[in-house]
Amino acid sequence: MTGFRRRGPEIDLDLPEEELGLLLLALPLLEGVRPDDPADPAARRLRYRAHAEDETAEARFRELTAGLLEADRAADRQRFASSLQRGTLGPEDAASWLRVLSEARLALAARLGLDREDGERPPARGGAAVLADLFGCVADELVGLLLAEP
Amino acid sequence: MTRLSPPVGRTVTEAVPRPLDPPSDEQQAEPVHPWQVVVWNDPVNLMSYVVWVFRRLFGYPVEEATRLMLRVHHEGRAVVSSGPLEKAELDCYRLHHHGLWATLERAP
Repeated sequence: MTGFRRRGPEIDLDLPEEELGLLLLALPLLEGVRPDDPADPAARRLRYRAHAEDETAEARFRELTAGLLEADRAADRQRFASSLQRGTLGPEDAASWLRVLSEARLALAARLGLDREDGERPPARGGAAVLADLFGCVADELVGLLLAEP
Repeated sequence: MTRLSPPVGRTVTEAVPRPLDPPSDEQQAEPVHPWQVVVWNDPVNLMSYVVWVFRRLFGYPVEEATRLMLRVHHEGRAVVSSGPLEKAELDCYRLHHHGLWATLERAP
């Protein structure tokens, strides 16, 4: 798969239309994750702690960063959508792509139970698993292109 | 470079070195890097992506970023940055924004 083509500082998309349509499914997936929903494994996976053993420090950190994280994620989704429609990625667009695709993989993996630390993975296939694979392939190709930069 | 000499007719008082008093408990300086940022292994993030994140956020060369990624992968965790609390929290936030499990701990 060669879905990206370097053109100076920019990267042109060279993905089939149907694949672009599938990539856009990352957006409703992520927008549907409610950060404080304890019943959703995706919400739990995408909620981070900085101070693992200090609740006071953690509450202060969360107060400082929770809104910022939501805003940054929303900005990434916006960049992802607009650059996908445009067909060209600038350097910051590419960074947003990688964050959106990685976040979407994390959300899907959490819901499918593919993120177990013990390596025991359920034989979950189907649309969601295929989508997670696609996000991974596209992200891996894009990051390979970025890491090849001097 | 201009060389300074004492004004004519004035003497220069020589500084006499004397040992400094040891700092009191309140004056004890904090360690230079009192906090460290730890990235934990997770089975989902791509290895290549983690290398790219370490390069992007901390400017590590590919070799060092790869070494840290492999440490996370094989040992379960790696310290990727350190500094005062404010810097460590900012680094931790940026790692969270990139989807990596990162926490803070006091430097030993």
